[in-house]
Amino acid sequence: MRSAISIDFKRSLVRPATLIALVLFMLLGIGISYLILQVFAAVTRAVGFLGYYTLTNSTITITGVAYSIWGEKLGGEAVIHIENCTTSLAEAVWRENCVKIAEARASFTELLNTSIVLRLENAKAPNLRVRINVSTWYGALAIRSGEGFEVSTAFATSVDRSPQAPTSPTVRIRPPRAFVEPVPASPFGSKLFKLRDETIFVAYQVIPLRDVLKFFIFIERNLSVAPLLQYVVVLEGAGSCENVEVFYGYGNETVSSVNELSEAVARGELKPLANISTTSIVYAEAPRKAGESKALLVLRSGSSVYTEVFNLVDIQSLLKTPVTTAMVSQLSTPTTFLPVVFLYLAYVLVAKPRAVGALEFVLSMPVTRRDIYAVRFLAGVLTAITVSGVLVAVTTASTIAMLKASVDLTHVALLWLGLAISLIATYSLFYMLSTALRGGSYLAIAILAYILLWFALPIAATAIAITIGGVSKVAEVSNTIKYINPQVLFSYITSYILTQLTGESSVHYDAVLTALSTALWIATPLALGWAVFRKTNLSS
Amino acid sequence: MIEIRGVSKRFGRVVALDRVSFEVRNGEVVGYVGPNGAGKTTTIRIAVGVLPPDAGDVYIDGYSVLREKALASSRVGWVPESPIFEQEFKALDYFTYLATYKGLSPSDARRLGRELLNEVGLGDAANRKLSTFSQGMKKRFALAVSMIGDPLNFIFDEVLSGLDPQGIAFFRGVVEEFRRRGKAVLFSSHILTEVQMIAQRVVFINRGRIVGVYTADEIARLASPALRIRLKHVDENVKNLLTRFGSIEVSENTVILREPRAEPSKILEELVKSGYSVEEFRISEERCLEELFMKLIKGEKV
Repeated sequence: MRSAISIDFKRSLVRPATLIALVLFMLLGIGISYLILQVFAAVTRAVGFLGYYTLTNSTITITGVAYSIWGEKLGGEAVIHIENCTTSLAEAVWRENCVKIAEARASFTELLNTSIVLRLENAKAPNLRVRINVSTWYGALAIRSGEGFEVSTAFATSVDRSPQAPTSPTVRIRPPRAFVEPVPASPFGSKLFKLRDETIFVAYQVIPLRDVLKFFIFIERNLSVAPLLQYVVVLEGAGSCENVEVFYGYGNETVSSVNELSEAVARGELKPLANISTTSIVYAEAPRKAGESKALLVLRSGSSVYTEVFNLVDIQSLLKTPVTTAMVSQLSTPTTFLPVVFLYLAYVLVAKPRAVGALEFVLSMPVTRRDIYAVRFLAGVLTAITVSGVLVAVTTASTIAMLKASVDLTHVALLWLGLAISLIATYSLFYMLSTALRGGSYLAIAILAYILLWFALPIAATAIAITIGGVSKVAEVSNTIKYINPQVLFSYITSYILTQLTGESSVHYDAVLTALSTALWIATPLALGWAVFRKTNLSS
Repeated sequence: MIEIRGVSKRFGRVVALDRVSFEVRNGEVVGYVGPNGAGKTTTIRIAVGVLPPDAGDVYIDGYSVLREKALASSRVGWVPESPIFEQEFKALDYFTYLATYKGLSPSDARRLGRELLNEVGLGDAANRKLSTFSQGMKKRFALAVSMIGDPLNFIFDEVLSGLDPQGIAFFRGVVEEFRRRGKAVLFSSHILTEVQMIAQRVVFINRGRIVGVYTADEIARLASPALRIRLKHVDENVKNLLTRFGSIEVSENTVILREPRAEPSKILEELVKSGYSVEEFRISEERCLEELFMKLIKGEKV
């Protein structure tokens, strides 16, 4: 009997209709991850940019690197707009009152470095604005998705006045609106050091991942620059900038002198990360120390030491909630349409062969009707478990692969369980119909039942609720009718996971009622179907 | 051994079977004859366990089809008149599927499938879809499936209808072989001559009731043959001459002489002596069997 179940399961699964649906839903699962990535890239800013510009006479030079929130170096396409604004920038609304006076495009793999010659009518006091759109793998996704996402990859800043001699390095930067939200949990900053006669620009980004810290350090010497960053602190110090060394360590202690630094290095508390003697970009990574919640980055240039302490919260953990939330929400879409596959399976396994009389010959084998009824039901059950497993696995895997976020496996298992059991309940309903109705009649009634339970009933209930009790009655009625659906368990589980993650619940589910409803959705149609099947004439 | 004991079945107001009882012993081919709608197929469906009776039971080697369905079904093979399979399968795959119900592992089932499909002449069609099979091929496939486990009992339902001469000869050969190997074979047909050639006993059924059970010898005795005589020309004198020997039917130059009261040689001699040119003179059993059949159906004494 086990072999018969296996063959029926195989032909349920390996049939064009099921496979096409499965492939479609798998693609949909990947698409869902892609969508989550787009939303994530737009809302949370998956792409960062470290850079600066210089303005000399009529030439503006843009230099910088792009990176992802996961610490990857990104290449891509940069579109740089130079705008001249007619009002003062303090009053100017973003992009309004500003006219584009120059545009440049540049492809880059690691370092963006491009110069634009400007033709300024009033070169002495232009109200210039620089705007860069970086289209990387993540950024490109955002740009393609619509203008609304564009801000996530637009890096812009304003120039109040042209930088002058290196001896006056102070440049006031107005943070553009696009940078109000920092990259999650990433210490992100830049410093301008004035050391004797030199000005050193240091911008850094430290990205704490689960097992490793990734460092992006951008250093430019002897420069008067306007860093393209949101948080800028101008520091003035004294010391040699012949050699800039970078150290990292864990803990909350700052280092304020070269002596303290030497002692910390001697004790092994700080480790050298890079040694920079010329203009350089440093990509480095260091293993994360278990149990440490803070880390520090120390820069030494001659006798000057600068320390930055930052919190260690790994980005993957921070992403877990938004990613799982998005995944759970988006899984509801294929779940709504998967019942069609099981509607068709019940047709193929029972309604159709029964209509033509093909089950009669099967029954002449050494089996009872109960065996045939059970075998074909179990084949559908195995298909439900497999299809839901594949769908959840593909969605999870593609989400992890694209967003590099960790997902709670308990949540994944719960989603699989909820989806599988809901599909079994759905199959049970169609299975019952297939025992009572033949061929075309089955298809008509089953499709009607699907439309009624999945679409018409909620709409009708809402309409009735509004009619009899107004809008306030809708929630009450919705809370009641949600149990009149074979997939109530999946809805319950998604609601449970979302509540766990966000602490909020939009719909309240009663666990006992959900369990009871699911059990009834499986057992009742199965029993009714058997009552019909055991008496039905299997001849054509 | 197949024992049908007091089986009754109604479809609504129609009585399909009324206390039908007979048996098929090992090493015996029993013909099951009746007109269309007599209840032959209903009896067989009950015997193979696909239709529950209202009363009575069927025993296959002593196992009740009602109470011990699996055991009973494992001991009987069935070739239906119009086998219907799940069309999407390929022959060997469906064979494997059905064989797993008989307790075979998929690999053993496939091995046996190739062997038996080859034996019934479907070796080249093993990987063809069942939807492309002709009626004759479907019957051969059903035969192959029924042979799984080499059961002692077989039931053939109108198996020769719609077959070409090659197919008819094949199935006759199969039935004869099964009988020779000591199996019990129930062979239904609405054509008595078809059954008479291979059955040792014939059970007659009409309107759901058994109207007679006869051995082949008894049938031969009861079905007195008719003489088919074709003459150069038929006139009143020859009609009068032949009427002396029995009732006649005349069609152009052919005369059928029913239930002749003299030996055929004597009748031929009389015709020749009277100067008639006889072009054909032969014994025709077909009509006689049909008449016997009709008499049984009508409940007349035979």
